[in-house]
Amino acid sequence: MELIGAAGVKKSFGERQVLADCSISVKAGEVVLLLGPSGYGKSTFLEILAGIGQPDSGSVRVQGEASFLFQDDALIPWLTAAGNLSYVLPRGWSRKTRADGISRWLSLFSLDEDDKPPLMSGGMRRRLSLARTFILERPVLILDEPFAFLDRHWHSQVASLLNGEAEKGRCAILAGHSVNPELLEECGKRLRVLPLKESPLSIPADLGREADASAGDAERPRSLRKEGEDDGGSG
Amino acid sequence: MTPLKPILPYLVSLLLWGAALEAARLFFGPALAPGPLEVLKTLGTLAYSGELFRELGLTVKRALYGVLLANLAGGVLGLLAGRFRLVLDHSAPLVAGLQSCPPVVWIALVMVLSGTGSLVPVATVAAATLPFVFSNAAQGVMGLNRRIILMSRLYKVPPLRRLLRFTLPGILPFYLAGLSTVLSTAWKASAVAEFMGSSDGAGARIYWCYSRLDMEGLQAWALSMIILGLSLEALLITPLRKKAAEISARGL
Repeated sequence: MELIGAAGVKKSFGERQVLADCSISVKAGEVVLLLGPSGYGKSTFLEILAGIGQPDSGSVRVQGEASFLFQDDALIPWLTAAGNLSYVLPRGWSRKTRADGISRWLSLFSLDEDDKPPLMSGGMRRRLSLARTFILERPVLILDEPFAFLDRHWHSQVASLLNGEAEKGRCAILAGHSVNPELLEECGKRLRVLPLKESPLSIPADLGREADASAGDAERPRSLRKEGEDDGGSG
Repeated sequence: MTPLKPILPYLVSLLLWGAALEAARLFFGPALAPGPLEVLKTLGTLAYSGELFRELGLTVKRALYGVLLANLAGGVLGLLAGRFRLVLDHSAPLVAGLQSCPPVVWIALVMVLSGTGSLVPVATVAAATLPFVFSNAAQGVMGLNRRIILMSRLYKVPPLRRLLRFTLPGILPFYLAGLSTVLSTAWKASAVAEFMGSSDGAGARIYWCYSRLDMEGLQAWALSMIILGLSLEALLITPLRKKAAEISARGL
């Protein structure tokens, strides 16, 4: 089942075209990595998929609701870690469900509930931001550089969580600068890597669709790896 | 730390003030420059009769009405200007004009239109403080993190929760910091307006003392206003600034 579908998405900021023609299809159980350098429009494309940005033309369909990991975390500085998670929880959740959810995700990401973002390291802020993305258990995860500021231990943890979400029938689309070995290892055949080579960003429909037999073959993205790309600095 | 240490600076200031009065008395003579003891005695008489508190209270009350008016007009306009670029672009020149206008213009205008009375200090304070309220409210809204606004929309955060946990804590520090500045100038503007355009209030009392050459009364009212200013600073303005810093760090 397709959870994310986009066709012919174009976007310009003034005279500068950022997205030339982007199409993509992400199915339940898939983890898709948009792989490209900074400034290629990956974040703009992800924001459009999440519904927080508007395309100039083209169509976007997202089945169910999406959670979005902001590149800059977008945490509320005066709220505690628990407060930042509680902020996004739906009104319908009972007090116990809220408390359990917050406690579970803070614990999973080794965060103290009373810590506040300005006193956290970059890695802690990123983990809190990830916890906020996962806690709602939405079917679609859109993550802008989820591995930035994280060390290899957390690369594995996050990759494992993504694989777990995909196993539950959800999907994830991520943006990054390099192929992450932990992601390859954890997600295996679920992972599809889209190497982006053009700016303004262009994802032809045949590249954006899942390839048939070889789709998600873990060996294929491995071949994209270069020396030194697995040193924990990937985003 | 000795118990005297916190009040020592005030005692030193009081002594310096007394020495300045004594020096002025020696230079100008006692008719034009009364000594500190005469001034304190007059101040005591004004306080005992209740006139001091009544007139100072009136000055402060008018200042507060003026600030309230400025908040109703400037606060609302500032919030809208912070939110909508069009409102900011179209109202900013008017507010800049208001800001560059000295209070004496407002005093003269209101006196021509309404005669002397409470309206002169109230309107003067409102006009003089509105630009500060406007710019602080606008800055507060513009300072809200746009990404957090987008995040709140994406996660469909209920409006009341968004207001209490994000919007208000984001705006209030700017607003309270601005309010503390406004309050510290409002009562002075009120007193000046009373001096020129009102028959009562502390400013008007200073005018009466000046016109009758009642130098002991003039010095006593001047001293009372200094004490009022220090009290407002200690009891209202400093706590407001602290609250602004606290909200900025901890939220509501």
